[in-house]
Amino acid sequence: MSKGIKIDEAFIKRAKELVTNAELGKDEEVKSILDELITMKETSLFQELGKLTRDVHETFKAFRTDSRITELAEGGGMADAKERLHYVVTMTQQAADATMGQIEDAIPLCESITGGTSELLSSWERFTQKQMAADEFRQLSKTLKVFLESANNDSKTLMSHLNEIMMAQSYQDLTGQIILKVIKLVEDIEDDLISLIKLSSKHLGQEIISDSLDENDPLSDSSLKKQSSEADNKKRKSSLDGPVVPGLIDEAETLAGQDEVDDLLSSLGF
Amino acid sequence: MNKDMKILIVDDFSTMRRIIKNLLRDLGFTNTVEADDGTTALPILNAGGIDFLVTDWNMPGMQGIDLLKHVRADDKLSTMPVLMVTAEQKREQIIEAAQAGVNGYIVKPFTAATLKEKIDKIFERIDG
Repeated sequence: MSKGIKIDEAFIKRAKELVTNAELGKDEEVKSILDELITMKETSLFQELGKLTRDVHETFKAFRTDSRITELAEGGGMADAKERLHYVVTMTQQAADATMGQIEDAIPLCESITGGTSELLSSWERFTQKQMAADEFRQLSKTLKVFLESANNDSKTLMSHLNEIMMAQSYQDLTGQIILKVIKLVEDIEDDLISLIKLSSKHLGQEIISDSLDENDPLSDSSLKKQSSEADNKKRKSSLDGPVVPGLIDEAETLAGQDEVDDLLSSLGF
Repeated sequence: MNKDMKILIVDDFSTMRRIIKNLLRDLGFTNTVEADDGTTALPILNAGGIDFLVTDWNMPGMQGIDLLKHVRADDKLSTMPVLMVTAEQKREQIIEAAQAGVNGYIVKPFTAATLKEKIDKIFERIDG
């Protein structure tokens, strides 16, 4: 049925009169009945339009007054997520720079060890084949001593570069924890948006939508309840702050580093 | 301090477990085992033979603080030294760990020197 007009007895009666008058060639009557029918249609249409406008207005009002929308837009959530991800970029950059720096410092040491051993190997070869004069051997043994000393130092330095490279990889744990927090935040926002969609569908008088939804549908009542209780559980669990992100710390409650932790523990008798 | 003691390293990030394992090896401790959270650590602890526990705090499943409380509440494990290595550095959390009976607390990111210092301190107290 067309929503624009109500087909009732009055309408059918007038429509029949329209046909009768048209067959009789009564122009004036035809025109007057037509005008009347059009007015009937328009009135009905305006009523529909009015209702629709009111619904839309109510929905927008609900959106504006729903604190969750404001929270999503202005609240800590999004800003925090951006801060955290920026810090992840900084940390990964620092870790990559540190690693590359250590590698670049280590390469000349490897080159020096390789160069020294190649040279000594060929001299040693000549010595074992008895192709070396006594003077030259005395020189070789001096060179050997110098090389062994420097190789000993170089390999110690190399070891420390390798350790630094290893320590730089701790960024993976710290950024991982930060990213997991952002994922959690995105999940929370998703839950909130689903609740909003549910809310707005009610305002538009479409309860039928939610009635037809089942357990598995993200918009159904029971599913929403399930999700929010899951979200509550997650919230409880993630009350831990994780790695300190600059700009997002509660300075009064967060210690600045190992030294402050040590001080606090020693004040507690540790 | 016995360098052959068996150390259990618990952290959900494998990179961090490897870092700690390598640092311990540098310090002369080669007898290490790993677990990725409290839930997987418990059966290893209950099986016996672990002398020292190094654990993260924030992990899925059972968290480090609950693992520590469990260790302290278990007659067979209660005297085991526990070192916490974590990114959590809120005052109340450090106090909670102290009250639960942690022996040392290291915040991430940390250095090899810090790890050595804390382990030395823990065993100085135990041995002395």
